[in-house]
Amino acid sequence: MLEIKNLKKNYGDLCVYEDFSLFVADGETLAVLGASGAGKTTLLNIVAGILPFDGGELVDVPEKVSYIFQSDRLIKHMTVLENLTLVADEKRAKDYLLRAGLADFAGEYPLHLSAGMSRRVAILRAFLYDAPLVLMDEPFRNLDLALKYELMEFYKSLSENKTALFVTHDVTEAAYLADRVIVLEKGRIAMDLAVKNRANTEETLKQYFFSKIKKPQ
Amino acid sequence: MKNKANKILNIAVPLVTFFCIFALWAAAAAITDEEIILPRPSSALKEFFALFADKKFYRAYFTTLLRSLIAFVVSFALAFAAAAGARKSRNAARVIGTLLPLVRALPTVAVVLLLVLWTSSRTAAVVVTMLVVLPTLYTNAESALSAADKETAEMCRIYHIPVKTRVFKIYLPQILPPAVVAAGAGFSLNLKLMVAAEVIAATAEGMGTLLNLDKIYFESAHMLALVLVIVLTGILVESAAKGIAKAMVKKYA
Repeated sequence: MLEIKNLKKNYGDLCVYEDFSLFVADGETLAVLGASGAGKTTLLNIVAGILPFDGGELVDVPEKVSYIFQSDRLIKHMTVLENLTLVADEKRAKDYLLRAGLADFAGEYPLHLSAGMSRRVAILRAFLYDAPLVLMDEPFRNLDLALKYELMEFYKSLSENKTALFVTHDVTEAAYLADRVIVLEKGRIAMDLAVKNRANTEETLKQYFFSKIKKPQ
Repeated sequence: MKNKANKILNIAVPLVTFFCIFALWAAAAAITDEEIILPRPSSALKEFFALFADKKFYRAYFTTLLRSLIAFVVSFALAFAAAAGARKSRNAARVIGTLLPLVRALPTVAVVLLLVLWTSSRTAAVVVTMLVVLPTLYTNAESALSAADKETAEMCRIYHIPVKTRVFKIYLPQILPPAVVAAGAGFSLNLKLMVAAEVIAATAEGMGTLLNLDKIYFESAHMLALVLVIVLTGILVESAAKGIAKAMVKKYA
């Protein structure tokens, strides 16, 4: 489905990826974890085609790619429905709003929505676009726990048969949503785990990150 | 309660300020007691109301307004095109960055005189107004365009939103409120400059021409009445622009 071969990416003198390769299978949800500055968002932006790279190859990246950004990036002078009809026809947009329980908010402007609703609209837009590949950059960041789980369930209800690549700092989120988790460290895959059991995966990831904590001398 | 007090103050303070200006003017006129040097506010106001019955005034007024509008529309379009170009290309930004201080430093009177020699007085007035207004409008255009942020552009690219939709449904409504405010303030400045340019270039028609004639015939009260018209037009346009922009923002904020 998506293959990254020998990727090279530098920001000036800073090398983010030297010889990075990754394969994501059809229908797979892959979570990318790693410390800040590990190149997670860079990876998404390269796959999305909004960031140039210095070498290597992207294979089988579909023409249409959806992206759920860290911020909702809704157009504030357009209503919820108008925001959605930017990527799909009105009938489908209304159907999706109905499915998401947001039909009553179709005529609202984004600044009148709560954080959770606004996020739902951003997620809806990504799925309405109907791209086979969905990219997500910390989509559930800064949300309270209940809302986070609600939105993760909402995401799951829409994401069937989609291939997804998502970046997160949250091991629970990764184990909850992903089929596979990779941990990036200095531009390389330090850990690659298939999620068979959520609790075990979460525990393994936690242990990994705890082992990286520098103890005070 | 606080809001109500603010609303009252918003109206009362400008009214008191205007009253003070008129009171000072009346006092100064009473002291000089010379209508040619400083006419009384009552004389100027009498002339002001008399203007509306004068066909010559209407012709001059609308000629100046039309010239201002032409100068303004052209400079506004140029400013936005230049600002968009500068955002797109660094070299364009460098060229504009070199030209703007030059344009800003041009001595207005000298340019008018040269332009009168090279072209007609009408063209001179329009061109010089454009040259003076352009740097200010460019700065405003730059800040208006920055309202259309990089994140929105990325979102549009990802979702393959057609260029027509991006321009007319996303970017224009985003940059319109600050652009309208800039336009209002710009037009006010533009009108003032146009009258000055008309005076220096001695155009055949326009508010500047009427002011020149008033100077020749010592019609000071009439001159002040014309100044009042120019000031009121500027304030009216600027306030209308602010009102429109506020209404635009209120719709979705």
